[in-house]
Amino acid sequence: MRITQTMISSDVLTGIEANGSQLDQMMTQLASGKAFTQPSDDPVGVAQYLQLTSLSSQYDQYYANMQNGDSWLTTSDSAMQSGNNVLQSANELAIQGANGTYSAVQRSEMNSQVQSLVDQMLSIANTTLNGQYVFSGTQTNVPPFTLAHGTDTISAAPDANGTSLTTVPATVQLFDTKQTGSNTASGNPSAYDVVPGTLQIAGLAEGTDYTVDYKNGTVTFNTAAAVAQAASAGGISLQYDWVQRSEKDLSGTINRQTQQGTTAQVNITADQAFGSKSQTNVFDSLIDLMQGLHTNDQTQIQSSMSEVQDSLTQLVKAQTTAGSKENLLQGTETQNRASALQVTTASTNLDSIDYAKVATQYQNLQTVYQAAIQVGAKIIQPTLASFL
Amino acid sequence: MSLTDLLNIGSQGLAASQMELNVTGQNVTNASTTGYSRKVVNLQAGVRQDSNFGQMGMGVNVVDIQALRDAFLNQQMQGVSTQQGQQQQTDTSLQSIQNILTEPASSGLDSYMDQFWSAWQNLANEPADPTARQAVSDAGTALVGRFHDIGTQLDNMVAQQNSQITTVTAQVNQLLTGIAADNSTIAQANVGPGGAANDTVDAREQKLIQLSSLINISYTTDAQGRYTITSSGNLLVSPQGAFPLEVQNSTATLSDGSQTTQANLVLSSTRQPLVPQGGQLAALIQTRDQTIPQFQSQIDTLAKTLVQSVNAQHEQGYSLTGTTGNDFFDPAGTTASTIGLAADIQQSVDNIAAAAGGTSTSLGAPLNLAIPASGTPMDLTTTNPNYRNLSQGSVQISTVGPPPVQLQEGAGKDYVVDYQNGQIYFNNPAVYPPGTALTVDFSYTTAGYNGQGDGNNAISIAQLAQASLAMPDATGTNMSTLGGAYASMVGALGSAKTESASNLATTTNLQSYLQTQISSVSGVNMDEELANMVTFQNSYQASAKYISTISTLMTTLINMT
Repeated sequence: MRITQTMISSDVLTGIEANGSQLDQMMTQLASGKAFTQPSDDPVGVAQYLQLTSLSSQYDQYYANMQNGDSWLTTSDSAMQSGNNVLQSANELAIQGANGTYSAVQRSEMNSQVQSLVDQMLSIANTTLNGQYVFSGTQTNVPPFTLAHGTDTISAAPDANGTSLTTVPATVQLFDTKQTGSNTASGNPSAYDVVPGTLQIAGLAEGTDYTVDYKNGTVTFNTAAAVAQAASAGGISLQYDWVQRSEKDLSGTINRQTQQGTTAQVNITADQAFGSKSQTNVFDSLIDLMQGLHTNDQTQIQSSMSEVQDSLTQLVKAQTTAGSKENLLQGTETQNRASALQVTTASTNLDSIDYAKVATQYQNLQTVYQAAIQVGAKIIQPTLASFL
Repeated sequence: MSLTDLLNIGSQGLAASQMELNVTGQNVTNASTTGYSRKVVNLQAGVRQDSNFGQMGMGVNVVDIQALRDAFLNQQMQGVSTQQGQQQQTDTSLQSIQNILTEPASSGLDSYMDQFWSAWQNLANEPADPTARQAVSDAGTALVGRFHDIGTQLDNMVAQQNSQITTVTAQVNQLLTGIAADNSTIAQANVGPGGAANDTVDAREQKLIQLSSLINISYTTDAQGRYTITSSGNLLVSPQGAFPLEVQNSTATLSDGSQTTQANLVLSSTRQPLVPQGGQLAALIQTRDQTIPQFQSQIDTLAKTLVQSVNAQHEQGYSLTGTTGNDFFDPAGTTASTIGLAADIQQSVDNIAAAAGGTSTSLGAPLNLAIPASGTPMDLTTTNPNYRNLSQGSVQISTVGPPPVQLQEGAGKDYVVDYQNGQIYFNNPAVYPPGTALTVDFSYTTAGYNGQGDGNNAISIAQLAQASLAMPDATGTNMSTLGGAYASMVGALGSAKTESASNLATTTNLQSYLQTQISSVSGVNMDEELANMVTFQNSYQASAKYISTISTLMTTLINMT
């Protein structure tokens, strides 16, 4: 075959260019540490890599969800633990109060202690996390229980609530006339869980003229004096504090996605922890106890004791639920981290280069490249002209 | 036989050597000229018929100057150029699409989709948090922006193909005219003996190769050496002249609904459309009409599925203000170029439906109502429209008192209840006449918004990331997630690019092999030329010496006689 100068130089150039482009590709790999920078570098690998990075970001997201849910459960749990302590103190006070050796004055002392327990319980039930009420179900901007200041007037003629007092003995339901615009037609909810000691009627004596069922918010009038006062101008004016439970549905579930297709409930509802409206709830129990202490009624204290214990049992049950949810969540977290590690390893294996291997190849290639340039330069140079 | 004849022989030798040196000089100086074929001088010994001795030498004659080329190699080269032109363009286009998608990188669509789904999960964690709401809207905007980028760039690429078709067609026409001009030059030269249009033939060969890389052609040669060129049976150059191509612009509609000009080729001679089957033009048209639309439609389908599935789930949820049935994406935008967030969402992130709501039973606080006029039922829904779907047996009615008296429920007793509609009929006006004040207690079931802490719909939307929504199989069942469909699209693009690159590499190798072959036949070898030069120099010197010798002979003769 005839060999011409153009052939030689173009062959040398083709060889050097091929080496150069391989060097360039390896430089890109070495500089970025990535085995591919565009789909055509490894079509199957890139498709897998995209899937794996999505999967990895999902696992991280599930983990973040669980951490967030965890804090929700932990907050609920520690609130319930405080509630547990409150109820145990209440139980101890009930046992003391039921003991015949205490005097009325001492019981009144105990009453004010229970009063502070009610306050504590209120703040526990209204525990927030980042401004969200944790026991309100999905109504996280609504406090489940509030201490409302109520007023009502009882007169001889029926009022807006249809209440009147003309004969004795008569039992009258208390309405909170300050609260309007709630669920009721005429606007006034009936008051219940009235805090003993906050209801006093001027001119009438508790125990003789009237008795109160604090839990249900009913007053029973027994004397003609009460009828007379009701008939007088202004009637019987009442003021009191009562524990109002939100009328909203507090049973909504708050969920976190923990795995693909799996969600976990991370909230404990007020119903679960403190008892529902139809049950004897924790405030019913405490108010009953207070009523016994307030009226120095040992039988009432006795009967309230079992209510307090029921509330405690209910709370412990909710705590157990929270605990097992936390355990499950932590188990899933561990599993999640293991899976995430696997996915990350797999995607790293795909997209990262083996530095040692590529660097060695690069060295070899560089040697070849330099040799090609040097030899090429020498081959192209000489022609017969140099020697003529 | 005279001395003058001898002088003639010598001068012919000088002329031949000069001619040879001339050609050698031309070869050496054109060693690197593209398409140049080396030339050699063919010599023939001159003879005369002598009556006594038969053939006698009469010096040397230059027969012709021959260009060394191999027609078969040139034809192969022309075929390979067509392939190379097409593959080069296809490879460039696929590379451009790869660049548009920018995968795998954090700026790729895949990553934006991941962030979008994550934002929903974060919203599910903090459904009332305005920051989390804003983050969902921002992630949505970013995703939409990425879709727009891809859509717009693909549309731009279509426009680029069109303008390139126009440019390349102009090049084709220039080459056609050039070849036609060369044809006539060659034909004129071929009329005389020797056929000396060597350099024009070289130039025309070069133009032919260039033309081949732009469009598929085949050609025939006539007796005068003129080429007739056709492309898929359409005459482009006849021995008489060129028939250039024309670009005709028609209007086409882009994926975003906007109009664009589409360049099509027609033959200027017959006004018939011409569809190139090879070369750069074929690749440009194929990229414009098939490759880009194919990826565009895949991206559009992805956008459409995303919009429809997210909206369907979003409509079921409740916004922060308790409204339902809202879209997250604008339902009208179902392509990559037109996808967008719904106006409501852009207006306020409170409209993001994170809450699933739900059927829940609530306790109606005891109502204080009076018995209505006889014949009309007590309608609880006038108090609150939610007071319907009452729980069976939950209705407890008593008089206000004192003391409160419980009323009896049931046919023939005090009242009956229409639980579904929240209405109570009183049947005992004798004891409880209209106007009697009552306390009504009940529980009821509601379906609907249930508070700002509800993030369950956000979870449902986030779970769409793992839902099979794309790539239906033969039975129409979707087999892949949106991310999976996109990943396999990227994979397919990568494979196509790899394939085109390897095709191109093969053809380029073949081309450079052919180039070597051609170079071996037609290329200039310096050493050879220089060696020839020495030979020609020597023969010139020898001829000169010969003439000087004859001259001495003549001087001798003149002086002696």
